[in-house]
Amino acid sequence: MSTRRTRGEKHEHVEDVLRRRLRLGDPAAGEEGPDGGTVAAWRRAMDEARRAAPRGPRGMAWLPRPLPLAAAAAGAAALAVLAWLALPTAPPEQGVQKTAVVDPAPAAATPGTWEQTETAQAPDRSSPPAPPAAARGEFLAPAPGGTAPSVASGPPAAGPGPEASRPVPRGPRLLQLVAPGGTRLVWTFSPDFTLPDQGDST
Amino acid sequence: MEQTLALTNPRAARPEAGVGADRLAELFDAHHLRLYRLARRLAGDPEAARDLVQQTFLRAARRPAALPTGEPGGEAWLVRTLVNLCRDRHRRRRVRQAAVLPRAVGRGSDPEARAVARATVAVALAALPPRQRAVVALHYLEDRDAGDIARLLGLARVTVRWHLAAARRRLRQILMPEADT
Repeated sequence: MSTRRTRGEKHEHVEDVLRRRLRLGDPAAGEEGPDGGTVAAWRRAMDEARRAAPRGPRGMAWLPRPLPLAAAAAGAAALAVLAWLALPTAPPEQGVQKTAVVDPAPAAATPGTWEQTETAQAPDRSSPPAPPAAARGEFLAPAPGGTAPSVASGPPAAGPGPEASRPVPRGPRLLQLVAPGGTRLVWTFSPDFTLPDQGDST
Repeated sequence: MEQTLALTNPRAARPEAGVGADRLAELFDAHHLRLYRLARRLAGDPEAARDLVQQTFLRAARRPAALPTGEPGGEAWLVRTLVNLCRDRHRRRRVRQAAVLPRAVGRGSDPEARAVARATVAVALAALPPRQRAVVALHYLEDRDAGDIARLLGLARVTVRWHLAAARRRLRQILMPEADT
């Protein structure tokens, strides 16, 4: 008669012995559980904690789940993108590059006229929306050699004068809008950019 | 006992407590005793077990909206919270018990053998990570199967079986030294 156990029988044996020995030394065996005083203390603490939990619009208890930090960050990023898209800008034209910078001293900019932007000949949304009260538009004179100018200048001649008298800049031309908050939008027109309605004005 | 029963029915005394308080009181009445037993097996000493149970219900009271509705969900939430608190405590302390030489668990019924058995089992359970300890306690001491343990702890069934196998290897070294020789 062999006493060798199969693998399954050995596993069962180990399970059985472990179960018996663990139960023999079970830390919770033979205990009645917490006494009435302990249970009462638990309940008191639980009730106090529940009353102290923040509720209503000023607290977080109205949320079904705590707001994850990642979700909050994603929401803030989405709001920032929406705020950027909501800026009153015309769609970019071919040959026009738009940049935005924060002007540290917006008061130094010279106000111009909005008529200058209409020369960009944009489609249906080309004409800028009604600007805020303090928004200003202006042309910046091209710097010699085609670099951006450091000082803003006044608008070019935009009156009804002869077309030939208008100076044709050789370098990139810049159009700048200054928002009330100090944000400055700058369009950079390439030297090759032509205005289709040039010469049509009367 | 009468005192306990009187205290476990607070809804009649405080009708303004609300639905959340009712749910919390129901969970407390239904599970505080078995949670204490589980905590006793996980924590080792009664004081720590009482602290763990209190922390579990405090966490439920502070976040009543986090409690799932339905009985199995509430029980599982409480067990998971208790095990997580035990794991936090384990991490904080980082005190490994001194390597007490395991002795064969007493088989007799005399008090000395019982005390030796309890001490040895306490050492064996303390040698396990908290989650494995919870799996062992639920499986060997509460007779729960792998599926039930998986539901209570929020684990996959295969993970529970893995924890059981790993714990079995460790427990054999401590509780069945004769099997390894």
